Amino acid sequence: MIKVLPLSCPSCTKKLMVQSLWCEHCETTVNGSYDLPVLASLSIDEQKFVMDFVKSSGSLKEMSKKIGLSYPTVRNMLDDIINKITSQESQTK
Amino acid sequence: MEKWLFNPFTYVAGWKSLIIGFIFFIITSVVGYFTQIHFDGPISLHQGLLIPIYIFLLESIIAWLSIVIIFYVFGLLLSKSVIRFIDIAGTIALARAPIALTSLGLLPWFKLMNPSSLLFMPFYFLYMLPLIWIVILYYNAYRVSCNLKGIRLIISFIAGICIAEIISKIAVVHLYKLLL
Repeated sequence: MIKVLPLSCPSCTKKLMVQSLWCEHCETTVNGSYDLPVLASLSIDEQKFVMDFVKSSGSLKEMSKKIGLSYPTVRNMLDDIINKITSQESQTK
Repeated sequence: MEKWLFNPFTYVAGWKSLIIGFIFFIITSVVGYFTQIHFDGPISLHQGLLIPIYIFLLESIIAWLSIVIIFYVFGLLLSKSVIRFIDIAGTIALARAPIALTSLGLLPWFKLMNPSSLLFMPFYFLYMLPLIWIVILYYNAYRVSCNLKGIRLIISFIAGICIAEIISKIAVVHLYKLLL
């Protein structure tokens, strides 16, 4: 089962923060108040797309060959992610 | 399969789709020459004069180019993405592929009966089915290559098709005056 990181509060729908981090090795727990990174707000598929894009040296042509989709389709996917990140950032500010 | 029929542009665009589209242009022109059907607008056909085969090809190119130019201008004005001319040119060329298939389908009936007779009318109506297919392909070609969405996409698409139809008709009339 793939666990999906919850991003918004199931009660009030506001953005969730990180309160606690835990080391699996030594079982140390760190408590505090941390923002989730913007990339964490993307879906699993979108995060995979970003990773592949970085691995392709930011080349849309390379990406389209790699995932078997046309250049404009890949560019549109990237633009959708950019829009999502931009709106996330503007919400945070 | 459905995606390949109605939105192949998810997988094919640019030069590849342009080359495939141009192969279909040649098929359309050859069949048009033998049947005297002129596919001289983005979504229109009519029966006309027997003219040299290269003019049939020029008619297809005019019909294609008129819609490409209009969609490219609309894309530059309305899209927030960086669009490429070759994507619009390629996807629109491929979107016209059903015209070649339609003309091939109509060809045997031209051999059997006189195209100007009333009996032939139902076959022109048969063109309506591929026409819906072509419009869906145009829509997806425009949507994918210009990355437009919502009401902006729908209105500009309808306006674009209408303007391109008028432009191609005017251009074809000038072509006839120039070459015939």
